[in-house]
Amino acid sequence: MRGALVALCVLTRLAFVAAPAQATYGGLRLPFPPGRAYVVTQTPGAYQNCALTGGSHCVGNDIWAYDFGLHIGDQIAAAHSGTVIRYVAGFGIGSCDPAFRNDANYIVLDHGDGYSSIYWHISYGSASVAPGQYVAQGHPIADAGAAGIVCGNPGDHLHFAVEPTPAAGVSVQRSVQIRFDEAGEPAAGTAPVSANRSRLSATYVGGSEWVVLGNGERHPTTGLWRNSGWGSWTQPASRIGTFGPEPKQDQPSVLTGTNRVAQSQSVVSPGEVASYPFELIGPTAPGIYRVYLRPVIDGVAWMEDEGVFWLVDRR
Amino acid sequence: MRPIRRFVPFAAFVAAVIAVAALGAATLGAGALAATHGPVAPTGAYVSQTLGYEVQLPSGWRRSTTLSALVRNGTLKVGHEVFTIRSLADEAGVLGDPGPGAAWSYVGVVEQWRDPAGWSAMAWATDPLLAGWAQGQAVETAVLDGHVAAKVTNGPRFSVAYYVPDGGRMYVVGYKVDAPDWKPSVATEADLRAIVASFHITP
Repeated sequence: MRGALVALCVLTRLAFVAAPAQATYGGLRLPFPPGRAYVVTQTPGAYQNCALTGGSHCVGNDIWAYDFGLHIGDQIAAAHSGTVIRYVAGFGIGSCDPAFRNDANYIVLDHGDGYSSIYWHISYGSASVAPGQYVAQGHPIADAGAAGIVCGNPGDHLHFAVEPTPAAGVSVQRSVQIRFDEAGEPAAGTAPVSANRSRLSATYVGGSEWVVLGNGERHPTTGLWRNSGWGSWTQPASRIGTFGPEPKQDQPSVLTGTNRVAQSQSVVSPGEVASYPFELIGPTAPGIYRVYLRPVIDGVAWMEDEGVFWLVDRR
Repeated sequence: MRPIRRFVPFAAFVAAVIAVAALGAATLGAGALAATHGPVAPTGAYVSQTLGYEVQLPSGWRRSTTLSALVRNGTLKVGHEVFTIRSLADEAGVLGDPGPGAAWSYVGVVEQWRDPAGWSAMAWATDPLLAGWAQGQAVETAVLDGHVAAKVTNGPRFSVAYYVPDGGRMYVVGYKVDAPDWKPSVATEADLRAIVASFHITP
């Protein structure tokens, strides 16, 4: 008897171990601009007491979908980079009536990894992307709305899900479990704050040096920053500029003779690395000199200050 | 989206109307069957006074009161009518799915839109705002009911849709088989093609 029980336990455990764990799809940011917070008005059905709530995410394709309490006109941002593969934006206010199911405005972004994100109920004519367009994470997609099947008055919200990319001739598929980088799997009633990408964002990649130079001696170097926003950087506005503490914002540096260094590429798309080549020049007087540099789109905004500097030991 | 609630007395009234209509259609269907000699599915004409067209419905198909809507929703669309082979009970049982729509799988649809600018069928069918867009869709010139139409295959809203202009209005006549998981066992794409092919604008 005891042996049979042990065997049963082992078999049960083996069966449990052998069962494939469902992978949670990650790499997502909340689908609205950084700094914004919206209430989770409905979680996936797995996190509801469906017998009690009868929520619309309890059955069918949307069992892993989230509803966020965006209102008509609130901006929706791409939760993941991707290419627009489906686009409907020609309908007005919807209804709780299932007759309006085929009149929903929505956009599908193909992530290129077998999965796509889907954004439902966008406002009439509000799409800020075009069919076939590739957009970076954080890029505005459209405004929230109330087209399609929405309940309430006006019932506006964003319905968001990730699904296996549908083949041609197949509409959206069953959603998969997801988590957001900044919020995990947010609970109903919470209002997670988006840390999605902003339009202009830079991340230092490399190039900073500590150089020993003589008077007037020149040393070529290059600063590298990745475009971590959703907008492109274009010449001539995209540069790196002098910043504090040394020399000070916009002040010419004794090490470079200028207050700006030009971007070498004409356009740097989201995710690409921009290079800024320049020369360090040994000052007249001996000493330790630094030049702090920070990416800037002149006339628009400075990007992140990561305290990056080059140091010259003038001997 | 919140759970779907329907007004029960209204639903009962609608069910009664449907039952009477189904009885009439069954009688018509039996007559049509008796008059045929080959394996041709019996059909019944459905005439839409409101939207101004008629289609022939193969045996078992009916107009879905639940999925049809003859109201505007803030756009140029006047209304639409949906044809299904699902029974009322079957249809009601799958209405709760908020995804692509079990109830909307394997249905024929006729929409009427206002076309005050007099767009051509091709211009309408290829305008992303008016017709939507899907990667891989195919658009070609076609003829339906004697009208020069645009046919869109694998579009964002229909598996096949014809855009048919008619003097200040645009008909969209199509069907959906794009959620194969939800196919009713007795539905066939051939039936849907036949419904679409029978489309006729009435005077």
